[in-house]
Amino acid sequence: MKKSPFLGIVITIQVMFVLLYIHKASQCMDESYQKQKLEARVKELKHTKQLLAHKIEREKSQSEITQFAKNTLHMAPVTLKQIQRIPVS
Amino acid sequence: MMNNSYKVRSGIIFLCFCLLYTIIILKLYLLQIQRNAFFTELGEKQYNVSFTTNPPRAPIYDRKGKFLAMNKDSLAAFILPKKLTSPETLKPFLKKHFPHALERLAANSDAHFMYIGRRLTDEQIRLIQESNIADIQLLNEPHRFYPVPAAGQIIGLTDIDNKGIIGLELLFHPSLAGKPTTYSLERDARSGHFYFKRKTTVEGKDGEALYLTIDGDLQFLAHEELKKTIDHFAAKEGSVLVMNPKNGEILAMTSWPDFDPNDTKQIDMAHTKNRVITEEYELGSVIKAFSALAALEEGVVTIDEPIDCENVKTTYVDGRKINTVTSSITGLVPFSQVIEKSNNIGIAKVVRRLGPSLYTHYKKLGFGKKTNIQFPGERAGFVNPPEQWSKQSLFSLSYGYEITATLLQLARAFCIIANDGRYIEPTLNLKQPQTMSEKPLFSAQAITTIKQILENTVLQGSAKKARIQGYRVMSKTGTANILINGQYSPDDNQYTGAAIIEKGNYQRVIITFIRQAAQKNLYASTVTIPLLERVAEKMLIHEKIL
Repeated sequence: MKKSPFLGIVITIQVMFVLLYIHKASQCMDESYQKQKLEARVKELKHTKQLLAHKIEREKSQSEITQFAKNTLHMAPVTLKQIQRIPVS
Repeated sequence: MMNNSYKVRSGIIFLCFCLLYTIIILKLYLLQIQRNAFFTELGEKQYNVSFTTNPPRAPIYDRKGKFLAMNKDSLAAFILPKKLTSPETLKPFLKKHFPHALERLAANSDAHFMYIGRRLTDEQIRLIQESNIADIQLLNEPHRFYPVPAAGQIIGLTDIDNKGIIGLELLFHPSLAGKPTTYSLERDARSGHFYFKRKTTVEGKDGEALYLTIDGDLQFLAHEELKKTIDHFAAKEGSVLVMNPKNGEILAMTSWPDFDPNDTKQIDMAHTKNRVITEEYELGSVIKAFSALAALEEGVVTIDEPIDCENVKTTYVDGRKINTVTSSITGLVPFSQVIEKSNNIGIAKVVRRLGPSLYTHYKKLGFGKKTNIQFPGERAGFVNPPEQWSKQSLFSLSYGYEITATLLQLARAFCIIANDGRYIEPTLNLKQPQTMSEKPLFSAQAITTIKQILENTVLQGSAKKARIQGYRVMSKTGTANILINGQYSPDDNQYTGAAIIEKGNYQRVIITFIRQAAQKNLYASTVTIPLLERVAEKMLIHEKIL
């Protein structure tokens, strides 16, 4: 084998390895970037979930529901005497 | 041929280069070898970031999985005093809206970081956003929201840094808060928002949710009823406790005065006390249920033995003056009626047959001993021991003086009656169930008799208003004078109602307590028993025991 083509092949293979390495490294970095973006999104969604849960709990405020039932719907508390017991046959 | 001058000049240049290279080598030596550690650390600091994240504080749930404490983000505003870009706009804004922050800024102008305000209100956020001052930055901070404010005295509070300061938030702080995780990041040079490598240097742990035995809805209902009674009698203090005697679970426990745990700016710390556990009282005649139980257990009296209550308000037993309230005055009646009518003279005549064993029975019932419920600040109560007794002590102990107890201890003692003499400790933690003692502390006969007496107290005695059609109710009332400046004040009373409610397999113990009503000459039968009946009715409807 002549000297110059052999050197050419070796150098080409080396360059290919280097390029392959760069390609893989950039792919890893890209994946890592995507992962981090998703992590940030998860964090954001968790925050939104927490805000919504808080909003739901505020809406379920027992004292406000009681006031609404009394003042707006004019409801009265049920007493035991008002409850009709149906005997189970 | 080179002349001499050329040789000299080239020699000088050569020496200059040698010197230059020597300096470079020397500098390299200094940088790379001698100060290697310093520059390595500096380099690592620039590329590697270490940061710590706290896991979200775990929620607290009631027995049905309803939130009792949850997280909510709030906004904090801060400035970097060393890097202010427009102090001339910032300072007038702070002077107008955040004067305290301006004072702090004047005192700490060299600080790197300073809060303007934390847990900002909507109005404050709007002011900051509308001001458009670049120096003021907003930061999200977690804090707690309590969906059932009526449970505030049990759940407690966290401080501005979300650290538990009172109640269960304090007691369970380590498990609720979890452990922070520390990461080491190799960050990118451009944005600083992303990283190349992430390494966990200290492994953290998520907070563990706490499940309580409390029923959030029943807690609210009990609290509403308590508030109504407090308003009606213009009383200073009150409490309600609902407990399941079969497993010791506390279903509702509320006190007045209360506080709104979601409005931490207006909290009176005295109102944050859970009085059911952290206050002890001389409970008066409600204790007669236990002095009667002790007498029955010792066999010194039978249910129908006639006891001469002398038909008077005041008499002397063994030379000691005994008073009874007007409503309880009676003559020669069976022992059961002594308790039903709550006559002090009658019970005093019976317990003198008992002597110091009354103390032993009180201790057996758990008085003077903490329940060891997981709650900060529990009081042990006190039972005057026989070696410290005066001639009056035995009588006083029989109708609820010289003995102090928490309402929780009273409930625990009533649970013994409900459980046919078997003992159970109360609990607030759903994941830590209590077990009932296998061996009863009292004989079946004594327990059956006291249950019958307590039922009669509802059917024909001082607790008539506790009667609920279709349910077995066993109750005892107590009206006690309060000790003020070393003397019992007849005008300052505390009223207690205690009841066991049964239907089939269903059992509940309810304790109601009101202290210092504005109106005088009241009795527990008209103050705490109607409250007890209303709480019981709400509870039965809520739990669908129909």
